[in-house]
Amino acid sequence: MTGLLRAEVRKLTRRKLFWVMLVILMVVMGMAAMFLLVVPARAPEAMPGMPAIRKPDAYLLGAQQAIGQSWFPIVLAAVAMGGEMRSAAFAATLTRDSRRWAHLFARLAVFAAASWSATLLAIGEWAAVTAVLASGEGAPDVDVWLGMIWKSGLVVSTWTALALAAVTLFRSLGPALGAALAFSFVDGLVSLWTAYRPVSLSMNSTAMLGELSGFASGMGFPGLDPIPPGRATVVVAAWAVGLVGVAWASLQLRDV
Amino acid sequence: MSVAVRLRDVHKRYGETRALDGLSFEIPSGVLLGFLGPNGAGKTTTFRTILGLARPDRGVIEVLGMRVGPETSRIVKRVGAIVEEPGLYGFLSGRDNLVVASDTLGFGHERIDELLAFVQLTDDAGRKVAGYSKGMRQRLALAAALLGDPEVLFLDEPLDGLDPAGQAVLRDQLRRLVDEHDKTIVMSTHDLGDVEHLADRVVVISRGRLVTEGSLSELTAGGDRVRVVVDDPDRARRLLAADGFTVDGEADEVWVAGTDGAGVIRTLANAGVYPSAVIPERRTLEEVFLGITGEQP
Repeated sequence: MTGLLRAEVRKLTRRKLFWVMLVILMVVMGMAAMFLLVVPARAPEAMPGMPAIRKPDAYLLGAQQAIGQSWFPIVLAAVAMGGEMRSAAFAATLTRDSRRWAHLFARLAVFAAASWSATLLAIGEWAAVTAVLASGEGAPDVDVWLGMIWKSGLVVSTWTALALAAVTLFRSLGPALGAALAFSFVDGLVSLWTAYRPVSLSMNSTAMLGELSGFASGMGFPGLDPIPPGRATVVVAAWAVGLVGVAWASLQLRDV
Repeated sequence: MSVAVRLRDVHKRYGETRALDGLSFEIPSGVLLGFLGPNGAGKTTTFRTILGLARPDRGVIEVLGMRVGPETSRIVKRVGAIVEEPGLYGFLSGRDNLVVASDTLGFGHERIDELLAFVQLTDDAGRKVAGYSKGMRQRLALAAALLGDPEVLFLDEPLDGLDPAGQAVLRDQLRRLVDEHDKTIVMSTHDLGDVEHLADRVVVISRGRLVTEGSLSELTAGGDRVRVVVDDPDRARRLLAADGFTVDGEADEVWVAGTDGAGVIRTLANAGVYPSAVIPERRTLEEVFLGITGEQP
């Protein structure tokens, strides 16, 4: 398994995809921080009606924004593994080591770790902007920061599993990427429906970090009841297990 | 001679299509086997089922005495393969492709330089594979297939699309692997010339079934005429015709039908005519192939 992980790390770090997406993520987060934190506080006339989010909530909002970038793990995992399926490199790999589950878990681990690292960098970038430019005082306790770290790991692992499940089901990059991204959008949209909201992946991913006051509460819909973080964590973990199960079954039981 | 690969009554369907329909054959160890069949005959499906990429619906496949399915993970450690595409990473260098393949195998990187030299890619090892020619990719894929020092190699049309120089290099390497390194190579191809130049044995399948198998000499033998090389062809024709043989040919050509040659030699020798050669007519592999499959390879 160590060799498989080493191979995946080498492949991922040698391709432009990860580094280009990392730059895009940092730019997106920097712009979001400017428009959600800095402009409303420093130049409120430029964005009338937009509440200024103050510390310490501003830090938590950043973590939610970073975790909400589901496109990053989805695109990374779908393009990387979908490309291997398309080029027959995955089949060639299986002619060297036929343990399909091992290849799946090596990819899940490395893609999720890469996405997690990117998410933590994004949280750090937001935190730096917040510390310097946001109004208000105070910062979350250490245990809140630690919670952000492991919870963001769980969330990106789940989105990664979604992408891998889509690739193993469709065996084709385009449809898999489209389906996984479409799911992430539709899941967020349908989470407004009260019957679906308790099981929505995107809603529970955000709720794992706890509710914010004012604007950020309930993803901008203050009338909705907050989902307790503990329950949200269980729901996200259940999604992760289910999606890994789908990916495993689809890979294990079908021809490559 | 031990058996490297054995298939017994292997069936595989894709929907309504019978890709393999009771396919059975054996491949002895230490030979280069040409695996032939028309398009859609089931050659690639056969490779994929042998390598565990596709599961047969029925039947038994054994490689090196181990059964595909329960022992696939042990089998792939002792075989190498190129199936359909070289299966390389274009964004990695040639060397990094081999490093990744070694890591996947769970092996060290000690053999990489040796194999790059064997496939004549040492000078290009640092370049990204996306910039390689097709021949270079095929050779790199061969190096990757050889990383685990496999006993059996399955190569799916390895010479397809290569320029003549690339084909010559790869042909030489394949032959050396059998002759000098005791490998067993199973090579599917459309090019009967490649098989005639390279193969020790041939398996021909069509519509997922075995059509024929055997050594190249066995398959190409079977013409029912012999050519007689003799100093006085006119006299030889007369003598043979007088002795009841069906004789054909003009000028220096003396062809005798319906004989294995022994009777021809006896008749001529009794008359004091000694042929310098009596050569059985051989069919080309293409004639054999067309005769038994009725299709183009």
